[in-house]
Amino acid sequence: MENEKAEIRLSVSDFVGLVNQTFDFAMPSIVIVGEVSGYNVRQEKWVRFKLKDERCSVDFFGSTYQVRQPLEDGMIVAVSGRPRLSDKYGFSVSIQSVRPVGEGSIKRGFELLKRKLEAEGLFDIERKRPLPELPGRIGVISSTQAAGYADFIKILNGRWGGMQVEVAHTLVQGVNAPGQIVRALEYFNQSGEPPEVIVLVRGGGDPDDLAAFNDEALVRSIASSRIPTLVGVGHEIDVTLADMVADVRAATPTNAAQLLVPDRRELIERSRTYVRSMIPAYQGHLNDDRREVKDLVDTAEFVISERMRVLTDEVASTIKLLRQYDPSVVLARGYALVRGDIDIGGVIEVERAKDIIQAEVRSVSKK
Amino acid sequence: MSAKNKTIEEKMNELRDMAAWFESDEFSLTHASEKFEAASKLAKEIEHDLSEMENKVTVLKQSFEEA
Repeated sequence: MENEKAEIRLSVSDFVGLVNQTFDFAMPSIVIVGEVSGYNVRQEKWVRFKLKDERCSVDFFGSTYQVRQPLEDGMIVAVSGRPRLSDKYGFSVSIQSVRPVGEGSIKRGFELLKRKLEAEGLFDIERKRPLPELPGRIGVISSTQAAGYADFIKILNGRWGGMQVEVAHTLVQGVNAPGQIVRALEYFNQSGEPPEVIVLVRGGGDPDDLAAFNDEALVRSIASSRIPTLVGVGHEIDVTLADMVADVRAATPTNAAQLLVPDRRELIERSRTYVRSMIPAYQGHLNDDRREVKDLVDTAEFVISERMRVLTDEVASTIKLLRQYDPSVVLARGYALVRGDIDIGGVIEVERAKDIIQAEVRSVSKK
Repeated sequence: MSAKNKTIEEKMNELRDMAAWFESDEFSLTHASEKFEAASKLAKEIEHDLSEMENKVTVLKQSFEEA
């Protein structure tokens, strides 16, 4: 009789319901780490696989939306999910999110997703847009507590000013980071006063810390941003898919600030250089003008002296010619000058170089 | 647009054009001194503007956690 009281009799459906309620109460969400086996995607929508270790294996089920990371057998992953007893398919863990664990699996997951997105052309150079030359409004997505954010703001403020910088504070590591960053990207893209560029920055970390930036949904969200994007995540050697899909990739948060705005000190130096460059140009023109004036004076002097020489020669020639007509010169050459009436018996005067003779005309005959 | 309302970019372009004028065929000694003084003044103005300007950084109040 007592055994009958302790016995709980349930229908199958009620039993399934009770088990699920118990799971919900005891394990509302749980993370299980194991090796993927039997990975299978049906109708490009439903994902099934097992997670196994040395002794056990457990079924997992979910949609491709939840399993953003392409997987393959052998990868070690951490699956966040809820245990479920299905009335049709038995026990499995309903997947909420999946992320590779350990350097090897993270690297493999990265390669698989990279290959997939590359095939879709998300990293094509033709998709890259230039950043605005001098942005007036900037949207920054980062954790305001992160060292990378502090570096970015410090360098940005040092290099340039006068900008409106709106910062969306989000997680930058962990399973919830991609979703928050995606919502921040959407916020800026849907803003009434959108920024001219969105900058996503995070400092360095181990591969697990940077895994958020290899999330497929995040990568797609960056690719579909209508506002140009600049991503500076990790150190120089770190490359994430977010970097690859961005319009411009910065090696570090500091480098992001350097790529985004010019250095005001360089501009100040350039403005001084402009002014300094005017002095030799000014001097050059002055020298040219002086040289031109000197050339003109030299030319004028030459022309005048030439003219003087020609005139002097002309005067000398004229004087020489006039001398030829001087009667005394002719007389000196032996000629004589005859004056008086040429009549028979008349007296004429014959002038020679050194004397004057008076003579009587005896005869006149025609030649 | 008055000089006060010009952006740094516009002022830099103006200064660059002034420097180019000194090298160009349009140069005239009559206007050179006046132009040089204007350029020096503009360079000082650019330096002042660049040194003084500050960014306004606002951390948004919105939460981006999943609703």
